[in-house]
This record gives sequence, structure tokens and C-alpha cells, in this order.
Amino acid sequence: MKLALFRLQLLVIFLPLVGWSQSRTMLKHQISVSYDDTLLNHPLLFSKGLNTRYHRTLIQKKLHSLSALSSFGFVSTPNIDNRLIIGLGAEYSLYFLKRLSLASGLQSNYVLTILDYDIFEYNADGNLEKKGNLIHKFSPSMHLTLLADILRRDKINLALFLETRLTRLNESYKRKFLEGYVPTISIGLKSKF
Amino acid sequence: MLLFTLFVLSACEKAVIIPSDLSNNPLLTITDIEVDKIFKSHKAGLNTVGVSIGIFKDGQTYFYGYGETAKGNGVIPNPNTYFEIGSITKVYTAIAIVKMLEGEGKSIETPIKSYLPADLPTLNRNGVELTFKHLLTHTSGLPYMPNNLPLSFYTNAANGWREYDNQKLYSSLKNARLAFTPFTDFAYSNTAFGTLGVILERKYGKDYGEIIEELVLQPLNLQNTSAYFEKTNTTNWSKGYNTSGKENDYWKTLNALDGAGVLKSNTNDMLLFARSNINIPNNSLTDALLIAQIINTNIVRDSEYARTVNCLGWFSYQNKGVPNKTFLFHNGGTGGFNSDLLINKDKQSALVILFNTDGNTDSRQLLLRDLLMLISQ
Repeated sequence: MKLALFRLQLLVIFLPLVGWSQSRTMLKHQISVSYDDTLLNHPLLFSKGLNTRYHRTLIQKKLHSLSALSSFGFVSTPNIDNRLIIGLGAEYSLYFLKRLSLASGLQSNYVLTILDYDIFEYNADGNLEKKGNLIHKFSPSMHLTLLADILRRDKINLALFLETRLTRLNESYKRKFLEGYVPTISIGLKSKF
Repeated sequence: MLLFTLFVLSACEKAVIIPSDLSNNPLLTITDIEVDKIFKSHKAGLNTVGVSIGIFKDGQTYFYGYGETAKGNGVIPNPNTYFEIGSITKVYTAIAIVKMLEGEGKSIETPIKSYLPADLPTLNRNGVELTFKHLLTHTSGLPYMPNNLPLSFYTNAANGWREYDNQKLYSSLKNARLAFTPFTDFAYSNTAFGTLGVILERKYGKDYGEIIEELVLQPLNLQNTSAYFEKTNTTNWSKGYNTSGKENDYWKTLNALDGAGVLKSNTNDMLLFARSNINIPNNSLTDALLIAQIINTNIVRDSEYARTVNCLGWFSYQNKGVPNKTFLFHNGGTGGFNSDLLINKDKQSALVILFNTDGNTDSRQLLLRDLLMLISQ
């Protein structure tokens, strides 16, 4: 039993080193697609969505890499609204095991909310005035991604990933910057080439 | 999706709790014997540690306790044992709101905007602005719960409520999207009744519990109903359990959502409240009590066991197993308690059932059905 535990410890210690020692070809481009569940308009029901990202690797040093990214996604809540989210940002990733890597990123997004109905607001004369069904805003987001390589070739790499993301899709009553973030859980596929 | 799966798995995990054989039913009258027979026929599936039953029928009041106030303590729930009554609070909130509007010479058709902070957006969909009627009848389209509950709510709701202050509710209202044009559909909303509670606080400049005490509880002489745990007889409380039988923390406050479910009471006081709704007292609450009982929508909700239509706070309720009888109804659930309050105005009878274990089972529905038949005879 003790020997088995010792071997397991050795494995845990040396696996990253095995990864480290491998030469990794710099794959400059990455494209990912994910299916998203977001707790947006309801605390217990998820709004569905899709998200695509393009990454351009800027720096890669052994197990570490830094990339710039752009993204396009949407979140849909039936009968209420659809939100289009376009973002720019950066992501740092680290291979911590041979086929497993962790990535974290920050983004700045433009969010266009298309409501399924028109909103009205009181004007200076005290009458309700139609304001249309579009809302524009900018919002930050951050994500943490766990990736598992399922295919590795010299010129292409395919990985499955699970991601959790916080996006400031809501407003805070007193404009507190740390409020209004909604959680998203994503599952997706990323290709590096 | 992962969270949802975990949620479903935890919801499916249901331990069967069978109340102990302890009871204070004296088995002296026909009603006593009938209640005992009904209780025993459904006991195995009730999934509760204890239950307190109150009946008002033919001018007589009956109380029955079965099981225990806490697992293994050997204490039978009595008419003065405190329980959380959860969403039955909404009936008291509705009466207080009607009373407030009556004092201002306004109707329930009044928009709520001027009662909330001026910098909140006008809550509307397609230009139909939210009024008190929409909030009181669950036809506002506001969500079941606010969309910005703290993370702690999901691990221990009692802690989550403590964090959820009025500012957070305002944030929720600032982002609120109405699910439908008001008064065209039904969506049960704690957010709506929480907002009504906050409106009361803003109007009177006091805490929700104090306002309910002044506007509703004192005029009806309900001395054992309160929003404050500390104001109750803390030595005569039942413990509360979740559906798996794990003891849950009391929901001492619901903070910004007090108006949706903070009240604590006992069978004795609940029956007194029911009787005030049967024989409306001639006092400051006469009109408010009457108005709250009027059916206000034509949206009928059909479920497996019942059909309901909205009054104000109250539901007009028809149990499918008790044909041609209509009751005023509300039920409630908190982390550790479950409650039912039903009034048959025609028969001048009422039923209160307070469970100290959350959840709803088929057996509880059948117990309710059989007791409703009993009080409707």
C-alpha cells in the first residue's frame, strides 16, 4: 500500500516534468466553440447560448503561453431577450500535465441586448415614451478553462474543455463594479493549428 | 448544466421519514376519531418528523399533534408550537398593502413606480406598467426569485437571506425582465411579494415586521404571529428538517424578501386568523380583509390535485378530490417547514396543517384532501 502511494506521488511529481521536457510546436491559431449555460434572468433556470473564440498565440515558452483573443457569442432567454456578446481579450495558459492545461482570461465585451418586447420610460412631460427593444453596454468578463487534449499532431491539436465564466451582464443599483456578474458554465471543443 | 444535474440529483434524494407514534389526539369526538383515521392512513408517506393540525368546524376548534417537534425528543407539537409559515406570509402582506392603499384613497390599479426609488427604471412590458394588482396576483411577470441571490443562498438559504438586503433587491429590479405582458399570464413570484414588503417599509419608514404587527396582527389580536424569531416563545419551537431529514437552520429573516415568507406562527394563531377571515371583524381591517378575498383574475391554474385562481395574496382553490367546494387557500414552504391554510367560507370552517419537514408528497396531498372533505361536511 505504502509502495503504491509512493509510486503515485512520483507520478504526480514527474508527470509535469515529462510534459515540460517535450518540445511543443508553436501552434499560432486557436479556434474554440462552446455550448453555454448562464444563470441570467432566473436564479434556477439556465439561459442557453453559444460562444466562439479565435486566439492568436503571442508568446509560447515551454508549458506557458499567452494569446490574444476575440470572441462572439450569444445568450438566449426565450420570450425575454437575446444577448449578442462581442469581446476582445487575453488568455494565459499552462500545461500542468501532459495532456491537461489550464487557461484563464480577461475580456472586454460589447453586449447588445435584443428584447422580445419594447420598453417604455417616462419622459419629461410625465408620459410613457417608447424606447425600443435594444440595450447596448460594455462589460468585462473573466474565465477559467480546463482543457484536455484529445488529439495531438505536429500541426494540429484538438482539445475538449470545460469552462466557467463570469460576465457582467447585469447592472448594480448603486453602480458597484463587483456586482452584476452572472456565471456561465461551458463545454466545448478547441482546435489549435 | 452541471449545476442543474446536481440540483436534480439532490432533489431526488428523498429519505422517508415516518413520524413517531406519539399523538395528543384525545379520540373523544367523532372529529377526533375521523382525523386520527385519516392521519394514520397517510402517515407512512408524509415524510415529516411532526405535524400540527388545527380545525375550525361547526363553531368548534380542534387541535391535533402527531410525531415530535424534534427527532427523538418525545415532545408532541401542540397548538402553541411555533413553525415557519413561509409563503402564507403573502396573505398578510397583501392585506397590509390593501390597507395602505385604502389609507391613501388609492386602488390596487395604482402603478408601483412612485413607491420605489426614483432612479429605478419603470417596470413595464410593451408599455403596460406594473401595478399593485399585478404583484398581488402573481401576474407581473417578475421572476420566481430575484436573479442576484448570493452564492451562500445555494449552500445555506438562511445565510443567503441575511445577505440579501434592499439594495440587492433594487439591483434585481433594475435588471428585471418581465416574462410576459402584465396580467396576461401567471408566474408565482417571491420577487413580487418581496417588493411589496419593501414598498411597505419605504412607505412607513419601519421594518416589515413592525408594519405587519401594526396593520394586521394587532387589529386581529394575533399575539403569536411575528416576523421576529426573538419575539416568539423560543422555548416552544419545532425544529425544521429538509426533505432528507437533515435539520435546517431557521429562516429568521428573509431580509428584502420578508414580505414573501418571513412570518412565524402556530396552529392556534393561524386558526384565529382563519376565523377573522370567515367572520370579518368590524374594525380597521374590515375592507382590506374583504378586498383581499375577491377573485381578481380569470387565469385558472390547473395542477394534478387542484385548480386555483388568484385573489389578492389568497388563492381561490378547488381540490379535485373535493368536488364543488371552494376554499381560500395559501401554502408555504421554507428550508425546514411546510404549511397549508384553507378556509371554506360557505361552511364557515378552516384547516391548518403545519409540518416541521419541508417538501410535498402525494400522501400530504391526500391528507389535505381527506381533511378538506371532513371540514366541508
